[in-house]
Amino acid sequence: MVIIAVSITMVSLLVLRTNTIDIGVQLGDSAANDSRQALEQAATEQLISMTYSLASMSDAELMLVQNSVQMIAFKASEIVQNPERYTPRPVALPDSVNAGVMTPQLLFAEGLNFDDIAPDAALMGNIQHLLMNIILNNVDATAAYVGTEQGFFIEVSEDSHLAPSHFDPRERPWYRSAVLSRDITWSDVFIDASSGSPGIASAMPFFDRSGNVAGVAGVGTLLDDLTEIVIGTRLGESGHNFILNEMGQIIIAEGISEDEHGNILREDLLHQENAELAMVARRMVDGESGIERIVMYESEVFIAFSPLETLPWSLAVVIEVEEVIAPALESQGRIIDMTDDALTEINIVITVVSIIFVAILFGIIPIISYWSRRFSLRLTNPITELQEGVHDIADGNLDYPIAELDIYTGDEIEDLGLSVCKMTSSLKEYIDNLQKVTAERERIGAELDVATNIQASMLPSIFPPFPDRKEFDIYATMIPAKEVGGDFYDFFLVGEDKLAVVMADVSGKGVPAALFMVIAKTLIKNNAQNGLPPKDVLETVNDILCENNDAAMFVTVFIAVLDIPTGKLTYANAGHNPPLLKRAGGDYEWLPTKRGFVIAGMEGMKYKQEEIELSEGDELYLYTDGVTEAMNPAKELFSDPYLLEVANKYKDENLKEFLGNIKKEIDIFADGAEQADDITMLVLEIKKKEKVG
Amino acid sequence: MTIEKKVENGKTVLLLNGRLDTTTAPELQEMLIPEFDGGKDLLLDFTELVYVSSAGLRVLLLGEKTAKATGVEQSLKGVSDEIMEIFEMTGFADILSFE
Repeated sequence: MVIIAVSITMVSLLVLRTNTIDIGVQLGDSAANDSRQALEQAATEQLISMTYSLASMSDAELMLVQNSVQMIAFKASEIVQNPERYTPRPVALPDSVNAGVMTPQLLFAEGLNFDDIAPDAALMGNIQHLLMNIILNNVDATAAYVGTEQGFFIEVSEDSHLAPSHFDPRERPWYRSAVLSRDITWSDVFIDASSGSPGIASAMPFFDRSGNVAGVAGVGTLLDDLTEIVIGTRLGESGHNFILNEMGQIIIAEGISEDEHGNILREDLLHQENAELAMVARRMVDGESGIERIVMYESEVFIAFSPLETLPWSLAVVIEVEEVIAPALESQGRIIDMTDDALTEINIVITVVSIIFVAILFGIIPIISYWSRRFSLRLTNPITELQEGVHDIADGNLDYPIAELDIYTGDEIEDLGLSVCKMTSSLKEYIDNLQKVTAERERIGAELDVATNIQASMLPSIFPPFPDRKEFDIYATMIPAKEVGGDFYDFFLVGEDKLAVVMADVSGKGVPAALFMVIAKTLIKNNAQNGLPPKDVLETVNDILCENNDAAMFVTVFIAVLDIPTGKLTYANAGHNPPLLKRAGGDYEWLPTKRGFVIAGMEGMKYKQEEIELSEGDELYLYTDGVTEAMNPAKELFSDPYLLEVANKYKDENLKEFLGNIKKEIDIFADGAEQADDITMLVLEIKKKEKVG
Repeated sequence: MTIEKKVENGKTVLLLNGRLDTTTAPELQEMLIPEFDGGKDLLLDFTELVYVSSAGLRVLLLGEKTAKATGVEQSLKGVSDEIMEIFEMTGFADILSFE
C-alpha cells in the first residue's frame, strides 16, 4: 500500500518535472516568436519614424544655408533696385595686412578699370555687414559673397587668405548655373581643403528693376552639422545611416574618403551587383520613402529611406535584422530561467520521496508507520493535481488556478505548489507585458529624443552668459514637455552696446516644431544682429518663413533690444504673451504691448514697436504660455492673474531663485497633472551702469 | 470635443463643443478643410467651446488661408471672452472674421 502510494507520487513528480521543463521550452519558444514579431514591427515603425526625423533634420540644416543665401539675394536686389536709399560703403581691396583676418574684400575681373566699378561696388558695399554676420552666426558657413554682372565680387570668408587680385565671378560655375536656373542652385558636395570636411555651396540670382539678372549671391558651408546628424545618430550597434544623391551615389556616410583632388570617392548603389540594394537605391533616387528587408554586405538588414525636400537627396537608416530580434532570444532565455526555480523545488521533493522509497525498500518499519499516513492520498492528491495544472500551463493556459488547489500541506509539497504559483504568475505578467515592453519602450523614445535634443542644443545655457558685462544679468530656463512643444528663448549682443532678448513659441509639437524652431531662431538672430530694429526683424523673418510653410505652422515672438548705455528698451510683440516688468523697489506689472499677429502665418504683416527706459534694479520677466496655461487635474489654468501674484511673491529673490520658485509654484498648482507644454522663462535685470569717463 | 454640422441660411455651420486643443484640432481640420470645396460660406459656431490652444489656432489659420485661396468665406460666432482674449493676444482677432 505504502509502496504503491510512493510509486504514484514518484511517477507524478517525474511527470510534473517534465511538464515544468516543457513550460520553459514551449512558452519560451512561443513568447520568443511573439516578441520577435512585435520587435520586428516596432523596429519597422521606429526605423520609418527615425528616417523621417533624420531627413527633416538634414533638411533643416540645408534650409539654414538656403535662408542665408536668400537673405543676401534679397538685400542685394534691394540695393540694386533702390540705390537712392543707400550711401556708398567702399569695400577694401585684398591687402596682405588682412591675411588671416575675417574681413570683407572686393575683387574684380581682369581688364576692368577700378574707377569704373568703384561707385557700384561701394553701393553694394552695404551688404558687407550682412555677409559678416552670416559667417559669424553660422558655425558651418565658411564664405558669403555677392558677384555682379559688372564683374566685381564682394566676399567675406572665414579664414581670409590673400585672394588673387583678379577674379571674375561671371566665369564661375555657381554663377552660371544660378543665372541659368534663375533660382537657388546647389553645388556638388566637395571636401573642403582646409578642414577636410565635406562642404557645399549654394547660389541664388538677384534681379534689377526690369527683372534682369543683376548678380548672384552665394554661401559656402561645411556640412559638419549634417554629417553629425547622419553619422552621429545611430540605431543600436549595427545601425548606420547614409545620404544618397540624385545619381544614386553615397555622398554622406561614415568613413567616406576622397581622392588626391579632394573629390569624394562615391559608392554607386544604383549600378552594382546586389539587385535588391540597387532596387532600393532606385526607389530612393525616385524620391520614394519606405522600408525593405534585404541582404546588404552579407548581412540581413532592414533599410528605411526617406527623401529630403531641399535637395534631390534621400536618407537611409540601416540596421541588422539579427540585432532587432536579439531581445526576443533574451525573452526566451528569461522564461526558461523563470521555470528553473520551480524545477529546483520539484527536484528537492523528488529527492525526499526517493529517500523514502529507498527507506521503504530497505524495510525501515518505524519510518513507514509514520510516513504511511502522510504518503497516503493526502500526499498523492496535491501532487497529481499540480501535475495536471502544470500540464495545462505548459499548453499555454497561464490562468490555471494553481493557488486554489489543495497544496497547503505545510511541508515540501506546499513549497513546491507555491513555487509553481509564483512561476505561473511571473510568467503571466512577463508575457502580458512583453509586447508592450518590447514595442513601446523603443519606439516612443526615438522621435521624442530627437526633438528634445534639437531644442536643448539650440538654447544658450551657460550663466552668466557674458561674465564681463556688469551692466545687466540674465537667467533663463526651459523645461520641455514630454512631447516637445517648440518653445525657445535667446539672448545675444548686437555690437558692443546692444543686447537682444527673444522669447518664442512654435505652434505644434515634436520634431516638426523643433525644426521650425531652429529656423525661426536662426533667422531672428541673423536679422537682429544685422542691426534691424525689433519691428523690422519680425517683418523680415515673417516674410521669409511664410515662403515655405504649407503646414501653416506659426511662431509667437516677443523681441526686445536693450541699448545698454542709455537703458532704452525697444520691443515688439508678435502674438506672444505680454511680459512682466518690475521697476526697482516696486511690484511686477504687465508691460503694455501693442500686439501684432504671430509670425509665419501671413505674408506682409506689419508690426508695431514701442520703447521704454529701464534703469538700475528694473527686471523684465518673459515666459511662454506653458506657464499661464499649466493645468491642474480639474483642467483649470494657472492663469495670468495667478502668475502676477506668484511673481510678486518672489520678486526680491535673485534671478535663478525667482525662476526656480515660479516653477515650484506651477508644480504645486499642477498637483501631479502631466506637463502638457514646454515651460520657458527668462528674466533680465538691469544692474549698475559702468561709470562713463 | 464634438463637432455638429448643419446648413443654415445657405451657410455650412460647424458647431464646436468642448476644447479645441492638440488632441482635437486634427478632427476639426479633417472636417473643415474639405468644406471649402463645397462653395458654401462657412460659419464656425464657438458658443459651446471653452478653450483654444495653439494647435487650434493653427487650424483656424489654415482655414483662413484656404478661404482666401478658394474665395469661400470663413467666419466665427459666439466666441467667449476667454477665447477672444487668446485671439487678441495672438493677433488672430485681426485676421479672423466675426459674425
